[in-house]
Amino acid sequence: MLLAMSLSAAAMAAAPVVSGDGQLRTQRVPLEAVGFAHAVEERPAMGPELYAAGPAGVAALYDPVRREVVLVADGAAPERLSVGRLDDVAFAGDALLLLDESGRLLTLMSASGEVLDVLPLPGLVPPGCRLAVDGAEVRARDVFGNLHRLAEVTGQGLSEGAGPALVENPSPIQWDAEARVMRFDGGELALTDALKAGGQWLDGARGWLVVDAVVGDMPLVVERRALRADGSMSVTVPLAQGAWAPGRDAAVSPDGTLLLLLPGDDAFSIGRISP
Amino acid sequence: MIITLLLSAAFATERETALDHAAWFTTHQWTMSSDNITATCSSSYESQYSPGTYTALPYDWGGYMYPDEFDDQIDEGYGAGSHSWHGVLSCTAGVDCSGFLSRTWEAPHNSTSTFYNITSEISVSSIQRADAFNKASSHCVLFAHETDAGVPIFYEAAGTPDKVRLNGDSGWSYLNGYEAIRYEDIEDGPETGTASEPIAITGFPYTDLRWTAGAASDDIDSYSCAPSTDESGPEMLYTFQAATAGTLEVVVSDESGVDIDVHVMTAPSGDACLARDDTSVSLTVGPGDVWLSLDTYVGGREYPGPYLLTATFTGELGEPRSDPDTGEPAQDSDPQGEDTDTAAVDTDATGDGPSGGPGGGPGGQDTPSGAVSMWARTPLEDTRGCSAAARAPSGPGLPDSGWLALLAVGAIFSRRK
Repeated sequence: MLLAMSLSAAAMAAAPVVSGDGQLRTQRVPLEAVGFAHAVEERPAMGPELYAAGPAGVAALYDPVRREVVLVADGAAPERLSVGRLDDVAFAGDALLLLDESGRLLTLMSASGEVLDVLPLPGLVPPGCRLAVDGAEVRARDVFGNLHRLAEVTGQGLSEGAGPALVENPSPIQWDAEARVMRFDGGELALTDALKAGGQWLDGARGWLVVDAVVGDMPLVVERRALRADGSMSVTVPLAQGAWAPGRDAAVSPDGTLLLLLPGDDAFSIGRISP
Repeated sequence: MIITLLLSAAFATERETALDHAAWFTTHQWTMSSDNITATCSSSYESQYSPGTYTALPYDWGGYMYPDEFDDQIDEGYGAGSHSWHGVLSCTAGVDCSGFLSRTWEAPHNSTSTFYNITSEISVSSIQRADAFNKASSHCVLFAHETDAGVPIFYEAAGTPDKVRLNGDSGWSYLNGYEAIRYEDIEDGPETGTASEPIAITGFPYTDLRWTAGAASDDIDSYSCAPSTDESGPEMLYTFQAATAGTLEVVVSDESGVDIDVHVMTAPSGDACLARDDTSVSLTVGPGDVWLSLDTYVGGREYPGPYLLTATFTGELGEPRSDPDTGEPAQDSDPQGEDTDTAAVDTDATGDGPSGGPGGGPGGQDTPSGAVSMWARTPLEDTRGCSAAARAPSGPGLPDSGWLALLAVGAIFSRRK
């Protein structure tokens, strides 16, 4: 199958452009519902970031200003949970896992905000990891995609993990800069005009990957696209043109729905794209 | 002219040094007390942190300091970190993005709007580690590496999540609108990680992101723990002194297409190997000198590249030794470790990794270990009393002539099976 698209025009659009079988639904959330700090000299604007997607497409945002997790269920008003400082959020069923890399703690919290258990992180978890949950097993995915043993969810608690200390990246993506081709799971993506390109699986799920392509230089012009690995769907993700550019803006729910955080001037939207 | 060149050379910062600094900020452990929740110069200030022990320096708007200076200020009761909504404060400790970048480069304090004074714009295609991405008046990051998947890894002092961090998942889109810049006094310089200039491990848990590709040391080709395993690729050497016996655990993570194996030794010699593995070892070592070799496996071809090393040790860490006359790191007069007698014993390394060779073994027990040189950080400039001007940076902005028009190049994304 060959899928060819011109990105540039779509990338300038304010809303995602969906190609293929998917349908986009957006849910507007006013900025008043979360903490927000406008840009100042030496610091871009701070607003919520999309850290995880849970059952039924619920979005788990982290609000760094109020230090809250904001849960946005489809069609419902946001619910806020006070969590303090943290580095990552993941879902373990209906519960939340909170990673505090600085304080070296992993917390299991119910969706209503009750702390169920807290476990000190093992000393061998390197910085820059994200949570990767596979059933009851909780691992930390490092910058190379390898998985470090972290913990197991046991009922309403956490216990030290079992198994190997390190599991190699089960599905590496490779960018061939010379051929301008990205290879993954038997598929290939040609990025003929990219000066640089990078690809990542979203939340470790192989269904969706997100690809950034640098298509202009001095300053960098980047175009972003989320793709179904089977080629059935492609979404052009508009990059923020204003001062607020979330560091994390995409996640995949357990049912395969792609969630996007779409910043705006006085509100933001959660975009949901179902396969 | 000669004097100018000499001065320039004297003040140049090596890329590895800049990245060492960045890792130091990212892994530095510190403890705050209730004294650091408030700050003496602002009645409305309240730290984002609560009393406890943390890893990585906090974000501090306008902050410009090294971690040891940060520790001093925390001890003196400065507030731990700050944000712009706290106002311009001289009584808080930490770094902001440009303070962090200036420090890693060992450069004077510049802001994102004044970096053009000490850097040049470069093409993204020529980016190297310890170069940076900058967006005037907004943010900057220190580039560390590009993964096999093409994803940039960089260090940054960020408001979210409120500290210095290693960022490997925001991707190129995070850098949309940024320009690639190179510090004018950065140089490749001599590499560390050799028997005479090993990388000193000065605390645990320890983490290091580094490369064997192009490593300065390529002296150890096999190890007594696994003599049939070909480790003839380049290696990086680390060392620390164990004051007491304890359990050493080491994990090495690398990319696909890269194979870096970990070896624990009593001296920088393959004959002094205590344990080795493809990914992880756990053994009792000390008291005495302990060496790690992160070596490139060779199987038909070399598999060099980047790796992420993490290590913990339950024993007490000894003081790095230095030359008593100069205070400089001691020079290794016996890198093969044949004349002295410290030893680490009692191994129980884990099993074999994909690159072959038996894991662990008694090889190296009671192996004599040599007196080693210990890498030490450059003495740091005292920056306490950072001026209000420096804490409220402003600048003329980047000259228009330095910018090219934004051109949306027609990229073709195509997927073929």
